[in-house]
Amino acid sequence: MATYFKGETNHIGQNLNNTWSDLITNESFIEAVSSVIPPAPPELLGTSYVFVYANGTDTENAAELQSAYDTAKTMSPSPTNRITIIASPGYYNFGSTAFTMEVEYIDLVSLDGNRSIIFNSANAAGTIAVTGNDIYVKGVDVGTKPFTVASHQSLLKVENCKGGDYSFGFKSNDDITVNGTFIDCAGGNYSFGVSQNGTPTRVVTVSGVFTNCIAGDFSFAYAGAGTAQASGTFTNCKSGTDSFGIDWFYGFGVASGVFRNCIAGDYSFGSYSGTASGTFYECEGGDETFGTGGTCSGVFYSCVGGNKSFGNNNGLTGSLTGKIYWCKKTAGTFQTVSGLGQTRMCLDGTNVENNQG
Amino acid sequence: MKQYQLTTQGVWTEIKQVELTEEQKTLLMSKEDSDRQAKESLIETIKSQRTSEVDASKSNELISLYDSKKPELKESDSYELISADVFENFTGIINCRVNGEHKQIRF
Repeated sequence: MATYFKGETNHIGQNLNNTWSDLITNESFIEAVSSVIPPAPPELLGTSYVFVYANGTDTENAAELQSAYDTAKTMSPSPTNRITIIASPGYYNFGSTAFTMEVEYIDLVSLDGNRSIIFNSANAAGTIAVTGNDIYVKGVDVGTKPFTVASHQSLLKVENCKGGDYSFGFKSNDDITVNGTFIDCAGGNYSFGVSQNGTPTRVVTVSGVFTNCIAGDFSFAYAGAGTAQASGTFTNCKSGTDSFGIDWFYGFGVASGVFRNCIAGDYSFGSYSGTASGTFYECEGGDETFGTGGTCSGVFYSCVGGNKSFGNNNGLTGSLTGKIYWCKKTAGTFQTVSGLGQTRMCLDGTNVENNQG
Repeated sequence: MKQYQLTTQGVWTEIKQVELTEEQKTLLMSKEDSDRQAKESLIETIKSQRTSEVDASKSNELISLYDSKKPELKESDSYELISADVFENFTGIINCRVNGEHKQIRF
């Protein structure tokens, strides 16, 4: 496309030595300019994909993504005919309405694999809501808004996505089960399986597969008052306080899954009179972690806990019936084991070796 | 969706929601020393109401499902159940240890 400057003669012979206001009202000029502006690109789709250019404003991009999704729905998605929406990096503003993925076998991925599908609405409702089961989502960043998923989505796979508080499985006051697969995802507080309130008591089950996921406080199976079970597989996950199988009120929190290299703050891993019955490899918690005040019956390898961790000690009641190998407390001492409990080559808060049972 | 749990071999329980009255909610939130005993008593009541044993028919269904899903064992294998959690649509997860190694079976 040629570029003309004021004072030059354009390709249709007009002298451009006039004012800009003259130009923008000059029909010949407008016609000339229109003839060199490329038309909107045609809808790009294949038998198994729909492409989103995202070359407009943020609201236009959102409309284009919605249109692509609507097109995908017409392409007969099925287990043997998955349709992938490939979205270009850009901002997508859905205003006050969520982009809802309710149809199975329609996936959404970013063109570059990064978190480059950015939902930038200032309205918390303008987020993504994945309500269907067999869906794959990769590369969506909704900022501080909640990244919404439904309950009981065992075939859901979410990768490299980010949300704010209340993401990846949250109910303010209802049961929830998070049993999908989450890889490289980040949420804020109250994320990855939470029922915040408990009237009546609620049941939170987090039995999915979580790899390299990060959340804030009160996450990975947290119930404000009810039953919270972290029974899934957690690898390289990191959270704040009150996380991984916590019922804050009644002590019905259970960490019964497999935890590898996971880190959490105080009052985590089946604390508050809960149960830590799973298997823990190289995990780290703050004070009152790993079944504090309740039952520490799991198997622990090279884990680190703070004061009053691993069942209890220092004033709280609880039991240590699990097997604790090469573990360390940063403060306090190990309580006396009971039942089949064992400690081997462990160090207490003053680096005194502890071997029991 | 109803949820059933097995932590002790052969004893399936249903995890239930416990309805609370406004009065009970107020008591649970109370930080008054004078309410402490009543509050603890209420929590114990809620604990006892949180689970209930399933009836024989449902128990048999769950036992059959569990037996069909749990790991196959050799005679010399040691088996330790951690928990089996099953929803009413018969999906769920078993956490267990076979010869000390943690196994998870999702179905």
